[in-house]
Amino acid sequence: MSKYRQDEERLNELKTGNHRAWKRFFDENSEAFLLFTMKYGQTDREQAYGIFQEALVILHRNCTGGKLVPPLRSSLQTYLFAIGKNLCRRGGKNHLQFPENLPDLPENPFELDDERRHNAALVKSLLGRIGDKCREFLTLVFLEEMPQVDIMQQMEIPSDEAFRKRKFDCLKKMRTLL
Amino acid sequence: MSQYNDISYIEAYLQDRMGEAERRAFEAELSGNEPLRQEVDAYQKIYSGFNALKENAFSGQVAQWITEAKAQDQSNIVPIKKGAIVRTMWRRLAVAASVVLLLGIAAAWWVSQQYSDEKLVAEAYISPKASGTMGGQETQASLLEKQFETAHQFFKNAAYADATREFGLVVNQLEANPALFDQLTHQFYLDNAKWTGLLAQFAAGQISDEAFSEKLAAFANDPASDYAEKAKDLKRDLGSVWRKIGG
Repeated sequence: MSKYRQDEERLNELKTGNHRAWKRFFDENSEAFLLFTMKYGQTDREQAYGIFQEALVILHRNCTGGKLVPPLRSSLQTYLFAIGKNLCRRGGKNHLQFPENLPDLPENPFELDDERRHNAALVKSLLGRIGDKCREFLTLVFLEEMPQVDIMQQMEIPSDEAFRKRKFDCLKKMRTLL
Repeated sequence: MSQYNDISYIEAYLQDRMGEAERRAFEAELSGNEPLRQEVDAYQKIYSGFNALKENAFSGQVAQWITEAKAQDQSNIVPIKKGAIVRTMWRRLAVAASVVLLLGIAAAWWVSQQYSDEKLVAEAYISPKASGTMGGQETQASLLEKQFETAHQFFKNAAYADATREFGLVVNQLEANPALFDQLTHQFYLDNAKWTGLLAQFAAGQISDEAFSEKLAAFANDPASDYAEKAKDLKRDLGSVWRKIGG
């Protein structure tokens, strides 16, 4: 049995993008993370808040993107602190000393951030060109992550097959516009 | 056309929802199917774009939480009005002053007790040995002996004015009748009466510090006097800064 069973349960909750689960995680870890960053990253509280925001976004990406999966080798808080360590050491601050028990995570290449920004802008643009129905539908599916049954009810989609067809037709519209 | 051109396969691949065997088969097809490769690349941009937009939305949400947290930070800092600072400062100063005043009063009281006239003379007082050593003319000597004892009793009872008067009478009689006792006894009673009479006079407030100090100097400077050391100590205490504070 994993040492981090509770954290794995929490991870499964966070993977769904559940707003309340993330807010609870934010509340439970914010103060500890700020103190950690101020102490080891030699930042002030304002800077620590900025790093906390970035660290949470990366954790969110890794959780929802399937990069972070059970069995965990550390608690989620330790994992978050390890992300914070990488963020603090950016910009030639490799001299900063952190607790030895923090895992070393691979740093996110800057190119990936650029690519993400580019693709976000692209999709935003495409959404504006595929018609209201498809835009609303794909927004509910991919951005708001509304459960399928709720979308079907809201958009009066009669069946799973119709839902599936609507989804791929709209995606194909976007693809065609690329 | 390959079955993999169905978007559901591409989506499953891009979202890492394929089983191991299915993924290997799909990648094998990808390596030899350029149109499929192009489709996957195109949809990868779309899915990646959706994820990035989702991430932006999450980042905005976190920013909102942080704004709320910062507001909470501010509300946790209890604002202090300028007037309140002054009141608090005055209150603190008043308390500190009270403590200092109380300590000062206590110290002054303690010093006044340690360096009071009564305390100083009590320290300098030497009680005579038991009487009955007197000799010579029985009646007059006995009377003088009783007067000497009475004077000491007054002194011990803090009746300093009475003690001063009695010691003065003893001194006068001793000086007027130097043959009443043998020389050593005479000298002992005379010195003791003069010394104790001086202490009583001081304790009764009948002599100034300066005059008292001069008389003490006479004792202190007489190496033959039994009271020289006591006189030096008393003179020193009389000039002590603590006596000045306590006084």
